[in-house]
Parts: sequence; structure tokens; C-alpha cells
Amino acid sequence: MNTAGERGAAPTIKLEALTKFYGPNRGVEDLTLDVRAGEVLGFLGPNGAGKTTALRLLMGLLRPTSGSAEVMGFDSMRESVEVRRRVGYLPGDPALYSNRNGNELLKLAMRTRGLDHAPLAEQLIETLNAPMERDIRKCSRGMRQKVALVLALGHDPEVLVLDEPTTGLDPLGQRAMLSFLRERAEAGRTVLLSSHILSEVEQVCERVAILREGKLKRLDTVEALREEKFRQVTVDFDGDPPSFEGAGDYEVISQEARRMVVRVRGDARELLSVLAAAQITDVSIMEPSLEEVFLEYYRDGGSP
Amino acid sequence: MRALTIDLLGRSWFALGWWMVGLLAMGAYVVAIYGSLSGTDELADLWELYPESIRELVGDVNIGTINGWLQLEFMSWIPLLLGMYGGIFAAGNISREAETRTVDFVLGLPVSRIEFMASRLAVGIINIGAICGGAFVLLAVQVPLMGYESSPDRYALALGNAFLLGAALFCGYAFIASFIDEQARVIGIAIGGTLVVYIATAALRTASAPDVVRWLSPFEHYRAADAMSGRAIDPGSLAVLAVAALVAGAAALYWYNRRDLAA
Repeated sequence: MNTAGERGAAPTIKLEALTKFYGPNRGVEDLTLDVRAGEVLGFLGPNGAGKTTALRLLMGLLRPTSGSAEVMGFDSMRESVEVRRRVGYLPGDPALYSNRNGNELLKLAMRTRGLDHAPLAEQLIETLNAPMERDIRKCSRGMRQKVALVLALGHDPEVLVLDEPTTGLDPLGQRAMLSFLRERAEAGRTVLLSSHILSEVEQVCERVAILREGKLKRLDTVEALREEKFRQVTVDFDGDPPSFEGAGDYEVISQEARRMVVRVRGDARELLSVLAAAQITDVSIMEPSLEEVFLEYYRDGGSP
Repeated sequence: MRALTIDLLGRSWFALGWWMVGLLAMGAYVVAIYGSLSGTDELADLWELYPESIRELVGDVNIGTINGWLQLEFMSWIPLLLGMYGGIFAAGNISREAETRTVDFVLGLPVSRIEFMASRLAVGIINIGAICGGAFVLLAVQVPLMGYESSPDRYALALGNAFLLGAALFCGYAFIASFIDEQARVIGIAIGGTLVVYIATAALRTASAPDVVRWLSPFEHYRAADAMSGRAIDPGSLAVLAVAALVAGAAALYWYNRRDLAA
């Protein structure tokens, strides 16, 4: 197996004006993005945003209406076998043969890949406590997810394409999985994961692609998204709150006798200059969580 | 593809085993009861009482002989059983894979869609061959054991014809399964379709329908009665079935490679 290239080299995953319509319904439209080696990119969006469609297009399970998807230079449709050789793919809500157990499926997966053993399988089985001896039909949703993760990632793929990887996992399993993803990224692997669990995206992803109604609304680093958005300022006054006229773009979230919570967009200096003239006993400025940023993008269906 | 084919063979042997047990029990029963009927004049009279459509379907045989009896009670049923087996196999291993989305697991491995479908076609055809082979062994062994004259060459020819018919029907159902992701619907189509076309073949023969119309039915190319009576089977019929299997199999491969596999 080739080792992943140095970070910053040619993109490992490349989507170019990728478009998929199901009849008149839009799956994704004009989706363009790159993911480089060693990077973890998160696809964020609510149900129906097009996350799964984009991943299935990348894996060659769907035919694009137009545009293209590539993994390590291989076209997802024309060279799908080469793509799958390099990718560990976890579908959303993975289905496995119910009359088999995880070990049997792992053997099938390794035989198909032409490998004698799965180098990371043991580590994953131990980390996730995956029930590989149990028939799939006797596995709970979470157990099935663990087995599917071992099957998808046990061969140490160069590219990890994961559709909601922590769904069904218990908190320990979720934490172990996220830690494993960070570790793989540090080892130079490329990770593309979709999720609507914002906290996990925030923990592992450097960049986030926000999809809405099949279109890419934003592609940026988690930091940049946070920074350019609002801050939440909580101010305690020794007396009545001052007039906030001239404090820039702000919104009062709550106001009590001597405490105000204000949401400020963009530059906070104007607000701070207003506050400087007031009798303040305490002030705290909180960065938004990714969840709050995300909700801004989806609020009322409009763009922020 | 080799790994997928071996895996599917392993998964399908249990169900195949039960199909073979049923078919072979039926064959053994037919051979066994011949002893109590053979040599009776009423058997020939009974044949004359059969409706013309059934006699047309069974073919021109003398049911007073062991081979004629086998044609009536065993060989003429095999196409129906093979058609149903092929339909159920296609539904269970093509439609169901998409319906339950286990195909996502397989196509997450370095396997092309063509390899996926080809493994299904290969195992289905191998299993149909195993059923026909099992039937041949049964007749070749049990008929002489029961004290009757064995005709392995006739059995081989008739069952070879049955194999080609079974393969053609299976490939046709595999094509249907390549675009219907619902196991129950494909089973319904396969069983209903097999019965309707089988009965329609008899009706068309009875009504002396034009050859070109009759030619369209795959059962029209099943000529086991000729083989069991010691006559040669028209090579054209064998060729038609082989070509039909190839065309339907190619159509299944083509369509499965073209289609979307939506979540």
C-alpha cells in the first residue's frame, strides 16, 4: 500500500462541479472542494442536505449528473475499483450480512482486498470493543456500527470516507473513534466524514463544508468560521445598563436588572468602547460553538 | 470476483441443498412408483385421457416406458422448478442486496459492479448446473437399481437442455432484479411469470400458433421429450437458450453497471 503523500501536496479527494439530480430533485449541485493528505474535512448539514449523496458519488455508487469526483487521481466512476482499493468506506447506517459474524466478514473483506491480515483490525477491535464473534443478527445498532468500522478501516486505508461514523456508539466508543480519526490524520491519512453531530466535527475536523439543500454554503476552517461570526458578551453593571447606541451590529439576547447578554457580529471594538464608559463589575466574551455557527446557517433557511 | 463467488457459493449451499433434496426426493418417488404402474394397459389409455394441452406440453412420449414415465412425471416439471429457483436466487442475491443495502458493504471493497453481478450470475448458473447434475446422478443410479434399463445418454441430453433453459430463465430474472430493489416483487414476478409462460406455451402449441410466436417462449426450446424418446434435440433450440442466457446476462451486467445505488 502506498503511504499517503505529504500534506499540502496534490489533493487526495477532489470534487469538481459535482452535481446529482434525482429526477427533478436536487441531491447536490455544483459541489467543488479538495481534501488534502493528512486533513480531516467534515461535511455538515441537516438531513437531506446532500452529505450522503456526495459520499456515494465519491464511492461510485451513484452516477453524477455532471461534474466529477476523484480520489488520489482516480475517477470515482471510471476507476471505481482503484478508488475503493484506497478508501475505507463506512456507509450511513451500515448493513451487513445478518447470518455472518464480524470475523467472517473481515476475512471476506481482506480476501477481496488481497491482504493476508488487516493491520489495524486488532487495534480497532480492542479500542471499540467490537463484538467480532457475534452473529450480526444478534448485534445491537451500536455493535453493528463497531463491526462495520473495523471492516471499513481495519486495512489502514489511505483515505477514510465515513458517513456519520459515531452514530449508535456509546460515549466511550464515540471518544475512541474520534481519537482514532485524529491519530490516522496525524499518520498522513485523509479523512472525509459527514455528520450532523457538531461537537464531534469541532473536535476532529480542521475544515468544514456546510451543505444546505445540496449546495455548498461554506467551506472554511473551524477557526475561521468561529472568528468571523458573532460573540456572546455577558456584562454585569454596577447600576443601570448604558445605552448601546453606536455599539455596532449587536443583538440583546437577555436583559436583567444589572446584567445584559449581547450577541455581537464582526468587530467588537465599538461595543467595548461603549462598555468602557459604563460602570462594569464583570464581563465575559464567549466564542460561539460550532453548533451556534451552524444554526446561524440554517436558521429560517436563509444564509447568515 | 473470485472471493465474492466463493463466498456466495458458501452462503447459497444450504438453500441449494434443500432444493436438491426436494427435487431428488420427487425423482426417487417417480422412479419408485413406476413399478406398480408399468405394464398396465390402463397407462396408455390414461395418457389418451390427458387434455391435449398437457400432452403438448409434455411432448410426444410413450408413458408406458420408464423414459416416457420419467418425462411425464419428472422431466416436464424440472423447467418450472428451475425457473422458480432462478427467480428466488436472483431476488435473494441481487434485489435483496440493494434492498437491505448489504451491497454498500460489498461495493465499499475493491469490487466493480460488474464483478458483483458476474459473481451472482456465475453462482446462480453453477447452482442450476448442480441441480441438473444431481438429477442426472439420481436417474443414472436409481433407474438401474430398480431393475429398469437405464438411458444415461438420454438423461444427460434432456437435463443438459433443462440446464440451458434454467440458465436462460435465471439470467432473465437477474436482469429484472438488476433494476427492482425489492426481493418480494422479483420473487412474485419470477414465480408468476414462470407459471404463466409455461402454461401459455402449452396453449400456443394446442392452438397451433405460428412458429414465430411460439419461438418467443423459452419453454418452446425445452425438448426433453425428444431426448427421452431417443430422438435428437434440435440444436437450434439449444443455441437459442444459450444465446438467450448470454444476452440476458449481458443486459443484467450492463444495467447494473449503469444504474444508481441510492441510499
